[in-house]
Amino acid sequence: MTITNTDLDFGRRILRVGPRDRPFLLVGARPAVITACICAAAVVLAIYGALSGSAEITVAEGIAALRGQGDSFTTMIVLEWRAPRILIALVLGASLAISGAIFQNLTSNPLGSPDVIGFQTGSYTGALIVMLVLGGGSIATMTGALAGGIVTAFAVFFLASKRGFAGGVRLIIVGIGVSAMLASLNVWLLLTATVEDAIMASLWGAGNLSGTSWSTFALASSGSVLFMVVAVLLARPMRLQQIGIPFATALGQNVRIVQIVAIVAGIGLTALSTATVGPISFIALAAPQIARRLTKTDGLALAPTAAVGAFLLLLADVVAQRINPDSPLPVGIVTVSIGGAYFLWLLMREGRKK
Amino acid sequence: MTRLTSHHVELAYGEKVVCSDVSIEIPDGEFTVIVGPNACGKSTLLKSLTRLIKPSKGSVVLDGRALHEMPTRAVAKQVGLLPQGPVAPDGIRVIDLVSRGRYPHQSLLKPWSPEDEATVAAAMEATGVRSLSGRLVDELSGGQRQRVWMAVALAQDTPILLLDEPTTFLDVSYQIDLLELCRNLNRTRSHTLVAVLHDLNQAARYADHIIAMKDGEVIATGTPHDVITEELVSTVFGVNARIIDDPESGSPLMIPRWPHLS
Repeated sequence: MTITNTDLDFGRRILRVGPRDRPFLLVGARPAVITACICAAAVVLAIYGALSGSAEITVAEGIAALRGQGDSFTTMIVLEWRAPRILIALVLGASLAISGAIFQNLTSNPLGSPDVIGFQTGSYTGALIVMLVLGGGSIATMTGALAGGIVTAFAVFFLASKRGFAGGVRLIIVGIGVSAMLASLNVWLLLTATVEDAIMASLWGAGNLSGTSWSTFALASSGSVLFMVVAVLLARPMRLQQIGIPFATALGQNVRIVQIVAIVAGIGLTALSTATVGPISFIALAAPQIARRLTKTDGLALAPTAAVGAFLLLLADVVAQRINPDSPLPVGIVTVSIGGAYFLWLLMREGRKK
Repeated sequence: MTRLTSHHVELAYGEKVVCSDVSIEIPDGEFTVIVGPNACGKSTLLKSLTRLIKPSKGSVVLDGRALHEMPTRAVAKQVGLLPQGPVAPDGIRVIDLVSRGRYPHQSLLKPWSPEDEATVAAAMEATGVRSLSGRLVDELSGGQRQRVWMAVALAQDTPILLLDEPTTFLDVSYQIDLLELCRNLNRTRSHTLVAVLHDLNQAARYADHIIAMKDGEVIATGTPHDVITEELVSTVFGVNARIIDDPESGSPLMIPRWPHLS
């Protein structure tokens, strides 16, 4: 990677990737540095998460466990309990954040994220039906959540569609409406269940990373990585759509195909995450906006967005576990609390502008 | 020679037919202006020339091939469009916006090349926004912003460029700047330009070729002197006017009659 200054003023420092005379990629220096910093912070947090907690483990013991030379108790705590949970927080945090970025870009609205549009409420409905009505196990619950999210997404898009494509505010409002209806359905389902079932189902509905095993991690992350690759391929076309569909069409883009693939990838990322650990709000909503403000980029910045999402979900989970070690909280509760603070900050900031 | 023509096209939004049977030819290397009253279908006709609207009948032909059968990217390398009222993303800088115009020349494996950089620089040079390159688009004046959008369209580097009401909502001095810029591009780089304009006198001054439309039909085509006559202004715009020679440019100048004289 070389840093050269041409006579073109980019208004900021640019890193040129590729041969010195023929760079093939321009990267803003600020987003690159900030992304690296967030990743580093996430690694530090991950190490803290792996070593701290009800059973304190020293760094030396942790390393020994990772190399397969630790005692069986430490190895079990670090490798079987904590490591998959930390990794799934990172992967799903990044997935939710990218999904949020995709939908915010499609609707050109910072509120257009999958948790606001109601896909997660739909997933919860699917899971509740399986848990309370059909009485299925955890795999069946995952399947139900996946189906619920996807069906809700299609319903929202269908209801919001007007001559083909659903976009912008219309999609958000229809989403909020559908989400509110499903939320009351969820409450009704919970009220009709026995107390034990209702508590179990509520715990699922709060979004919980506890009990993550390597097999769930493998299942969720393989799907997420696939959709993330699709999202990366879509980044350039989606960025072009920010200047309007007519311009994007005139610039040779097949707008409809890009939109459909983006919707599939966005729904896929959210649905997978919700099916695995339950609905976790706020990450998809806030991570893209936080990343944008930190990096000062225009619109879609997938790498910083993914890094912020991964860091935030891990942070929320560490806080959820450590805030009261005797009764750890579901991570979804913590993200909702941070979400409230974020909304207040956003409103106060916008208020000051006017 | 005419690379871009449309043959008996019908243009419709859903059920609503805007133009029923329009055939036009865009003369190469000339500055063509489409004029007509509001809602006469002039923007629709312009959009059909670069696949924004697919004709429900007839076809638009570029170099002997139907536009809608060509790959999108191939069309985008030949025909550019500056749409009406484009929106700049929040917090975007001039150079990044202009770089978006390089889209059809880039690919996943080649997102940026020195050629892109040179073309972007040249587009900003030609539109006089190079000194604003690192600035935020939100901070610019309306006139500067429109020049930046022109630079986006120029960065696309197409021999044919379509402009949909490029002067609307601009102060008159910026309107003149922009039309001078278009004329310059046409004269120095021999771009084929097609613009939809509202002001008939500006059209008469700057156009080599005029297409006058009314109610989705082409009423007249030709040089400004051929097309802009008292009779046509009355039929197309419903204005009773005198046509005199513009003392500055020699082009036809429309002056509405003053009905209050005895």
